[in-house]
Parts: sequence; C-alpha cells; structure tokens
Amino acid sequence: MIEINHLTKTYKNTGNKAVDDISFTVMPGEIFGFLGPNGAGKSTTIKCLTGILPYEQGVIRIGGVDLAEDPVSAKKKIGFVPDEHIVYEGLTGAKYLEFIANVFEVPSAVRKERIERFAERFGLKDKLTQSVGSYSHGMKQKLNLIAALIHEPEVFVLDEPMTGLDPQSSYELKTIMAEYAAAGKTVFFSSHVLEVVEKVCSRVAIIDKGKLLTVCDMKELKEKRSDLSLEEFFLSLTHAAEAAI
Amino acid sequence: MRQFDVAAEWRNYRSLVAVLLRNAYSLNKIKSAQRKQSQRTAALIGGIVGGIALGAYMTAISVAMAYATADAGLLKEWIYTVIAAVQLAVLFLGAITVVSNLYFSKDMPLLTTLPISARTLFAAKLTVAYVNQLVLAAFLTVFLVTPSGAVGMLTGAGIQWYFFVFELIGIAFLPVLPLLIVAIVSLPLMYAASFFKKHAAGKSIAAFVLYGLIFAVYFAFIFGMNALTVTDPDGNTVLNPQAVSLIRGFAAATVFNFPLVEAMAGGRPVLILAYFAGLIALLAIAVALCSVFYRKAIRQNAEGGGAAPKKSTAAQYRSAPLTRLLIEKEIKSVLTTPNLLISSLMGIVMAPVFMFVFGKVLPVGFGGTSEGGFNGAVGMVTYLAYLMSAMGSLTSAVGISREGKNFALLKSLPIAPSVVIRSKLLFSAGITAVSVVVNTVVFPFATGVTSPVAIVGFVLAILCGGVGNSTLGLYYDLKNPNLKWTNPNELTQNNKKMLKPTLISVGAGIVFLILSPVAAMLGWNHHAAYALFFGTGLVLPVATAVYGIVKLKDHPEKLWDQIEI
Repeated sequence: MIEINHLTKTYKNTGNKAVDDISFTVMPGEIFGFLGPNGAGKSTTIKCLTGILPYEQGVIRIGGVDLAEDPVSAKKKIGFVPDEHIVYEGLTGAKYLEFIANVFEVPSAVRKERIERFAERFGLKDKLTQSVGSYSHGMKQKLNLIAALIHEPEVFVLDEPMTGLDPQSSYELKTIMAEYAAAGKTVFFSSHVLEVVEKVCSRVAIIDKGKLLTVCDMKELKEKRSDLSLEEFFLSLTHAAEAAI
Repeated sequence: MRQFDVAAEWRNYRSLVAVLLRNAYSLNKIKSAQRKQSQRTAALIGGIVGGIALGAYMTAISVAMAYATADAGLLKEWIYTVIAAVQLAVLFLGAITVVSNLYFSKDMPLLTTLPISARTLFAAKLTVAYVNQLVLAAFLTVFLVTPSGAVGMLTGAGIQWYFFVFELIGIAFLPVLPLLIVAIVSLPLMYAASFFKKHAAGKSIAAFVLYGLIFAVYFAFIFGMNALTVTDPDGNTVLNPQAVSLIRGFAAATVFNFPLVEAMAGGRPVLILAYFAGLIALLAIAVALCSVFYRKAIRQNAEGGGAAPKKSTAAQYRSAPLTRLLIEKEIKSVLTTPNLLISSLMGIVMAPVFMFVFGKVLPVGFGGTSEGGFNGAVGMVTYLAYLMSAMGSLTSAVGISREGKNFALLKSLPIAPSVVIRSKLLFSAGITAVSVVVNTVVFPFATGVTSPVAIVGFVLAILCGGVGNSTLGLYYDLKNPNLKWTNPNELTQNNKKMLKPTLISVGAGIVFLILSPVAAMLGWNHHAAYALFFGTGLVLPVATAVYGIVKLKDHPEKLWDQIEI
C-alpha cells in the first residue's frame, strides 16, 4: 500500500512548487496509473516516493512505514524501475543482480531461481554473464526490471518502464504487473503511453502543474464516459486546468 | 522509529564495497584489454622502472636522514617525520578521491533508492577511497620507513625487531587517519556548499580549497626537507640547526602518531593498542558527523540545492557563435568536476605560490647568484611553474572522455569534429594564457630576475608546456576515450592517457632543474646564461608542442568517427 498525504515539494534553487498538496492512496491489488504532462510533477512525486528527494510537507507511507521516519525499512518494500537506468557498467548482469539481492536480503536459496526465472521471461538469460557495458539500452532496462522484482517487493514502482523494451518484453512486463496485482501487491505505474495505461490500470491519477486534478476508477470512467478514451479524458482535463489558470 | 540493524548494515556495507571495487577494477581491465600488447608491456616496464627509480631515491634520502638524526639522538623524531610524510601523501592524493567518491559520483541516484543507510553509504565509499590509497601507503612506507628502521637497528638507536612488524600493521592503518580527516572536514564543507545557488560549482570550489590547503602543506613539508642537511668539513651529512627544530616540530605537530611511534621505536609496543583506540574514536566522530550531514548533503545534491532564487525574468534568446557556446560548455563541465577544476587551477593559483616559496623563502638548488649574475633559483621556479601549467592543460587529456554518455548527442549533432576539438583546445589555451600572465608577473618577484631574456624564455616555457600537454593529451584521448564512467575519479585516477603527457612534462621540467647549476657554473654574463638555460631547456617542451600540434592536425575527424558508443 502507498499512502501519500498532503505531499508538497518545492525546489529551493528555482522556488518552483513542483508538487502542491497532493494526497492519494494506492491499495494492495491495484495497478495505479500516474499521469501528467511533461513538468507536471510526476517524476518529483516518484522521487519523493522512492526516497531520492526530501520533501518539506506531507507524509508518505509505504506498507505502513513512514518513509521520512524509517527510510531504510520503507525502501525495502519498494521495487523501483527508474526512467534513467544507472547501473555499474563494469559488472556483469549477474553480479549486479547479486548485489541488489544482497541489499534486499533475498535468501540465497531462492535468488538463483528468481533471477533465472525473470531473466528467462525477459530474454536476458544468456546475457547475464556479459558486462553491463556491452548491453543495449533495452537490455539495461530489462536488467533494471529484474533488479526491481528480485526481492518480490510489496510495492512495485515503475517510471516509464516500457522505454526501450521490445514487444515481447513489454508484454511480459504487463503480464507481471497483472500477476503482482492479482497477488495482492501494489503497482504504481507512470507512463505517457496512455493506451497501455488504459488497458492495465484499475485506477489513475492525473497531475498537472503540481496539483492533483483527479483520481478516478478506470471501470467507472469507461461506464460514465464511454464516449471518451483515456487520452481524450486526459487532454480535456489538462487543457481545462490550463484554461482555468 | 528507525531500527538500527547492525547485521543488515554490515551486510550492505560489504556488498557495496565489493561492487564498487569490482566495477572499478573491471572497467580498468576492459580499457587495458583494448590497448595493444606492446603498449601494455611498455607501460608496465615504464611503471616498474619509474617505481624502482623513485623508490631508490626515497631510500637514499631516508638512509641519509636516519643516520644524521640517529647521530643527533633524534631518530624517533625522524620516524615521526617519515610517518607524517606518508600520511600527508595519502591526504594529498586521497583527498580528491574521497571527495569525488562521496559527493560527485553518478551512482548516487541508484544508491539513494536502495535500503542502505547514509551511514553505510558513507562508510562504503570511504573504504573504496582507502583501498585506492593502500598501494601508495605501502610504497611510501617501504621506501621511507623501512630504511629508517634498518639504520636504527644498525646504529643501535633502540630499534627492535617488532618495529618492522608494527610497520606492516601501519601500512594497513596509516591511510585511515588522513582519509578520515578529509571526510570529516568535507562533510560540513560540502553541506554548506550545497546551499550555493550554483551548488555544483560551489562544491567543486569547496573541494579545490580543501585540496589546495592539503597540497600546500604537503609540498611545504616535502620540499622543506631539502633544507635539512649540510655537509660538514669531513664530508659527512649532518643536520643543520634549523633541521633539529623542524624535526622536533613535526614530532610535536603529529602527536596523534605518538602511540604508533612509541610502539615502533620507543620501546613501548603495547601502545599500539592506544593507536587503534584513537582510530576507532576518529571513526566514531566521522560516523556521528555523517549522520548529521551526509544524508542531507546527498539529498540536496539530488534536488539541485541552491539558495532562494531571484525574481524570475523572461527567458532571453540570443544567438552566439558555436565555438563560444562549446567553450562555455567546457567551462561548466570543468567547474562542476572537482578533479578537473583543481587540475585547471594548478598553473594559475598553485604555481605562483610555489614559485614565490621556492624562489624567495626556500631557494633550492644554486640558491645564490653566480658570478655572472645567473640566479640558481630560476631552475626550481621554472620547473614548478612549467609542471603546474602543464598539469593545468591535462583537462584536455580527458576532453572527449569528459563528455561521457553525452558524446552520443554531440556526435549526432551537425557540428564538425574540428569545431569541437578546436573549442576544447581554445579552452585549454585560455587556461594556459592566464597561467602565462600570472606566472610571468610573479617570476621577477619570486626570483629577483628581470633579464628580458629570462622573462621571454620563461613565457615560452609555460606556453610550450600548456600547448604540448593539451594537444598531446587530447590526441591520446581521441584515440581511446573512456565514455562509460560513473565516478569522475575514473576520468583522472589510474588514467594512463594522462600519464604520458605528465611524464613528458616531468621529464622536460627536470631538464630545467639540471641545467640550473650547469648555467650557474659557467659564470657567463647573466643574459647569456639565461639564453643558454632557456634555449636548451626549451628543446623538449617545443618538440612536445610541435609533435602534439602535428598529431592533432592530422585528420582528427578520422579518430572522432572511429569512436564507438
């Protein structure tokens, strides 16, 4: 479960209030889509959620653990796939995953099986003994996915995860997200590819200019506004917000 | 409430240290494998020969001083001094590694998302810096401390067999103290620097100030040692009166080494336990400070830091020549990378200071003026200025590597490679030009020499040093850049491409040192002596500069196109 209560984040060097008093909860078993135009505050929210950025107001709880009070415990519950993959290029894929498994205390008895399982699904099994420096962009992204899943996190946070993935791997990722939600875990997913969001997410939140415009149930949205695709709904909301300003 | 899980923190610490060391080692191995076998063999032989030569030189100094101090009943104080020399060298060379690892590493966005405490992160990065300095500490200890102990045993000055046992232990622990000092001092410094609006540049400047202070102390110490001995009428090397107070002063100033030195040379081996206790106490201070400052410093870094902004103004759109824009990019890149900033400012800030110290305060070499009016201090002064100005141009030796992953973007843009290369050289030329002006102004004050021949020769020496290093360095980097670094340290440390121009600069600089007494002995009129001194000394710098220009002029586009990302 992810609980965000009255989160506000202002960047000191620009004075820009990137996130302004947003609150929402993502329940276990949900795939939650987090949408917004460029510069809306999505990445800032995700960076606050994953402990990269400090925030001056609000509370973020991951699986009931306050992120500010006990960041290490909170981060143990998160599997994070960032939009920019930063990996150690001098290591092999296997060594990098071993490092992540150590940090997340994945038991030795299961880590080999988990790594091989995910590597098989993402088509990376034969590449794990090669150095990360030799990987393509897509392969590094797959490595990041496996690293985020290896400890079977309670909360799976993905920021533009489809970037660079081949169709097979994109399909596998969507399947894994559905499996995770079905198993009662929480999936928090940010993407600009609204067709995918529309297909996989159970609820979405739309943020623009730091403010939360709406949090809505996808099923209800389809029932009430069957005339609109998610894309049209998104555009209507964000343009209306601009017009209001 | 945060839980402090010692077992988990220890596990994370071990994992992170292993990963960081393995990553650095593997990257080095990959780069090395890309070179031809003949180059690797040549580099290895060069390294061994150079190491042996330096080791022999250090052993000779150590033996001479050990005998002189043993005669004067000051051997234990000399042991203090050589141990301090090792620690200062680690402080000097390790400072930038520590600062880069802790604050400028590109893996921080990854590491801050992992369930690793700031304390563990700090400890792991400091440990990696420590491992990098172990080889240096071992080398210096073996060639400085061992001979002193051996002389102490031979002269019956109270050195026992356990001196060498504790020396071995000391190799492992000597780097700890200086690195902890750097880490402790850097914590509040970097935290404060993160509040600057242009916080990346602020942090680089803070790193430069810290490094500059350490650099000054180190070289004042090392070169001050030159003035310690005189030769008596019987031809024996003895301590001069200032040396006695100097060595006693070092012993007093490095009183924190008391337990180690007393254990090694003072007949009280049990005090080694007090030495360890002291290190543990310092570690505790570092950890306590880290808990307050480090997490805030790295999170400020993630945010971008900075003070409150001024009133925002509308964006201004002005066209500018491409070369100027590229040079501005170079300036920003160097300003936000402390290793490179320090290197760039060597010739402009450090060189004049050392010129003044060794020309006026501690004249070295033929310190006086010969019959014909040739001032022997010109040798050391020119050597230092030349070397540091040459080092200032070493930013070119990583000119392409510095681009990192952004090189792909640069290559994709419709910019001729020659324009990019020219901008990098112009940037280096700018640094050299400032260095020439500053050092030329200081030269007459530092040496008392106003001969126009000397001044012109000096200007040419600095110019050729800068031009030679920047062109050669950039050429070697074009041939084999390292675009995959995550830590700015990887750009400069163990970088063999920087080694070649550096060794050439040192070689050329040493020629000035050797020529100085020769020119003085001739007893010529000082203008002629300076003409000979600079005319001969400039052969290698001019040849280097010409070679570098020719190499870089000859189809750099081909080298550029061959770079694979």
